[in-house]
Amino acid sequence: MRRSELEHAIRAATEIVRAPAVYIFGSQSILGSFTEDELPAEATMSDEVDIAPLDDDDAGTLATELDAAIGEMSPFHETHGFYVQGVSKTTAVLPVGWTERLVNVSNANTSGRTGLCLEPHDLCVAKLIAGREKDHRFVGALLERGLLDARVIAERLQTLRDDDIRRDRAISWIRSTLQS
Amino acid sequence: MARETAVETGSVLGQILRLLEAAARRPALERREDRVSYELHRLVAEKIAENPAPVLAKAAENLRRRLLRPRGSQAAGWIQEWEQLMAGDPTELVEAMLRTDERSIDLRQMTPFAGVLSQEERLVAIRNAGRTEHAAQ
Repeated sequence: MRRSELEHAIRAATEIVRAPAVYIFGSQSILGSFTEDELPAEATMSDEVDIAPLDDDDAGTLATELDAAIGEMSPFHETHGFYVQGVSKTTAVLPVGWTERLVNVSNANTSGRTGLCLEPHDLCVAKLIAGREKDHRFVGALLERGLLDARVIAERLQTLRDDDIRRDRAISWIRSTLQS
Repeated sequence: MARETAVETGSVLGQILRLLEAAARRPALERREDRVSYELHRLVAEKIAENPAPVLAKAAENLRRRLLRPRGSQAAGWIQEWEQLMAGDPTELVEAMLRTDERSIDLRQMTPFAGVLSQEERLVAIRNAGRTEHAAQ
């Protein structure tokens, strides 16, 4: 995905949920901090961007509206080659203080509305907690490019309290990268 | 061939229909977004069972367009995997579309099937994904 496509997704999503801003979760939130030219290919290969309404009911009504309008296999997807996946703002496990570090994407391309993107180190915390092979590849590629500080990721992982097993596994992984 | 006969004779169509019957029992997927993707692909698989040619033609067109976008080797790998599945045994294609392991979830995220389902069909899939019996316990 390209930065311009992220901006397009923000413009469309905020219009659909009738809000001035949305959260951008998932790997493509990295485009809030870096352009596609600055990023390794592994970081921008996804065709989908996870977007969470700031306020949604327990049934995820607004997230469902995003899926319906501009989601997977929609006419939007067919036309533009990428799509929005409606998610809950609780979908990712994030470190303490993440809301204070959000990166705003707002310009003419977003019609002045805002995509609140995860700060890259916070994004990597979420990825390492998920702990899938592709998540490790994603974080590893960013570290290898020198875009992130592994020590900051490790520090933020330490702030997690609700999932000790996955947190400790993630810390082991990031420490192994520091040693290699 | 009647669907019942197809299932009995073990034809390709029969094998696909058995996969669809299993898929109708809705495997447990924890994340709603994974369930949405699964349900969409289940409906696409039903279309493949009915008449694969237009579905595969549309998917091939989407993959061709996707190859024009600059991508790394990993994305090219996913595209190649879809191409190989589409060129091979339809049963294996449907099986890959409906598995619930991590790799299959990732494969579906790079779906080539945009434009195959009508909006009405998509909404049915999205609604089915929200059904509580689908969620992991």
